[in-house]
Amino acid sequence: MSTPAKGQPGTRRYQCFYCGTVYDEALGCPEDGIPPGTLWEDVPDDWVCPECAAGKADFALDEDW
Amino acid sequence: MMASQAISAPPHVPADRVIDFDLYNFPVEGLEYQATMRRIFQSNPARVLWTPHNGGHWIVKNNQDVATVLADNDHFSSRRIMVTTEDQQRPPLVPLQLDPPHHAPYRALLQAALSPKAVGKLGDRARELSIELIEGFKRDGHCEFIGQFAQHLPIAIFMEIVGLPAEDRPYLTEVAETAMRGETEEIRNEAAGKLMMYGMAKVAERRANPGNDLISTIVKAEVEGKPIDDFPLTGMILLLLLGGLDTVASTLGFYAQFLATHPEHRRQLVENPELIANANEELLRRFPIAILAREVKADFTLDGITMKAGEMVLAPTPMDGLDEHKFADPLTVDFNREKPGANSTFGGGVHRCVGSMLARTELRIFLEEWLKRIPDFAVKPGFEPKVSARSVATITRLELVWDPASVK
Ligand code: HEM
Ligand SMILES: [Zn+2]
Repeated sequence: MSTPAKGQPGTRRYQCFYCGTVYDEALGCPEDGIPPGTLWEDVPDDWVCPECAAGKADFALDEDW
Repeated sequence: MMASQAISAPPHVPADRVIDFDLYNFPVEGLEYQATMRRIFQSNPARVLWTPHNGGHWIVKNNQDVATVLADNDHFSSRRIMVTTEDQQRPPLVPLQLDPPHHAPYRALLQAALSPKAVGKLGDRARELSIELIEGFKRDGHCEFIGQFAQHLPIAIFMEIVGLPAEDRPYLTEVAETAMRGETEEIRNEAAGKLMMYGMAKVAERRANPGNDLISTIVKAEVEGKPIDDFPLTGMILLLLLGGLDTVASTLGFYAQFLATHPEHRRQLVENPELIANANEELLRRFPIAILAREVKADFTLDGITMKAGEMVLAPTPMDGLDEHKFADPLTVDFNREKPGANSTFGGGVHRCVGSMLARTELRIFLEEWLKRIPDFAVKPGFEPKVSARSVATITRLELVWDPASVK
């Protein structure tokens, strides 16, 4: 399997508006039961920022990554 | 004279819910503003309290109820955000005093300017400035922390965001301070008036001559299909000035007094700078400075009590971070605490602080750059700092001393 290019689904990064915490699709969020490789669309809607508890909707795609 | 006058409780307030609490005039134990407030509220076991002071208002006091009041825009309005009997003759702060759906388009304009990406650049400037300020006095062996550091940093950063000339800094610092903390409502309103005049003059300048700054962006923007009127525009600029200055300066004051009086905590950060990010969140949890309020918009029943439309309710942010059901041993500062950042120090719901990334950055930079240079410091012997509070709690003066030979 080839690694997807930067910015493609599977390698995207989303950043919390309030505290800057990054959700990296490649890494997932294992401490919240979200395995590495989980696409942003598949992260549950009630997931919250692991650092500041902001909602999923408060994360924005990091366009430069 | 105290501004609040006591009135008797209305009939729908059960006697066991009444507490004698004046937000603007309660006896703070030392600098323990947050802990004292918590102790007073916890002295009555009921979940919802009522005080006759400041026009008479409800108080919620646990993390869930604070969150509910801040999140439920159908029952709680931000039209009035302070408990007071005095008239507030200033334009509503925008978007802070707007409810959904009017709130969102104005907020969106600020969001772009305060996103983590935008803040990254501002952070570089904040670091330069912090270093410059600390280097300026570190060999003196003393400073008045609030005037010489805490107020400078946020105002300089604000001026950068809105593109204001550095020479206006002393004027703006003084007027902003008076607008927040002048003795009487009249003095505060007059200073707010000066800030508005200043803001409006800048608006006229940018209209004629737009640049890349936030005022120019707001001046050019359209909300609901038309340019923003001068009235809400003024409210936005006023909010940016008041919201970003006093809050950061006040929080810095609480950080500095805590570190000045806790040598082990200081040493822990000097020896383990990688703890600073979590320490920053922990200090924010432990020392919230915003006491929020809402107007009840439609009758709301909580714990068997009905708050009636038109009444005011206090939602003190410290009652979230200091709620023992949410954070064990909440009065203890533990830089290794897990997830201290999940608190309401920056509010909650649609008005959650749009400047929180910037604030976090400024505060972290202070911890990093200060402790690198002045690892050991104390409150000047004999000096007794005091807390003053309107809707933001602040330490008005803080004299610090250190051994000039110990600076790095
Ligand atoms: C430690 C520093 C800060 C604290 C504790 C703080 C706290 C808060 C809180 C609690 C709210 C919600 C108020 C409410 O719901 O009634 C808020 C809103 C706001 N803050 Fe901050 N703030 C800080 C720094 C800043 C900075 C640096 C800026 C701007 C540069 C800023 C701009 C704003 C604005 C514009 C709002 C209104 C947002 C809205 O209505 O949607 N704040 N802040
Ligand atoms: Zn976050």
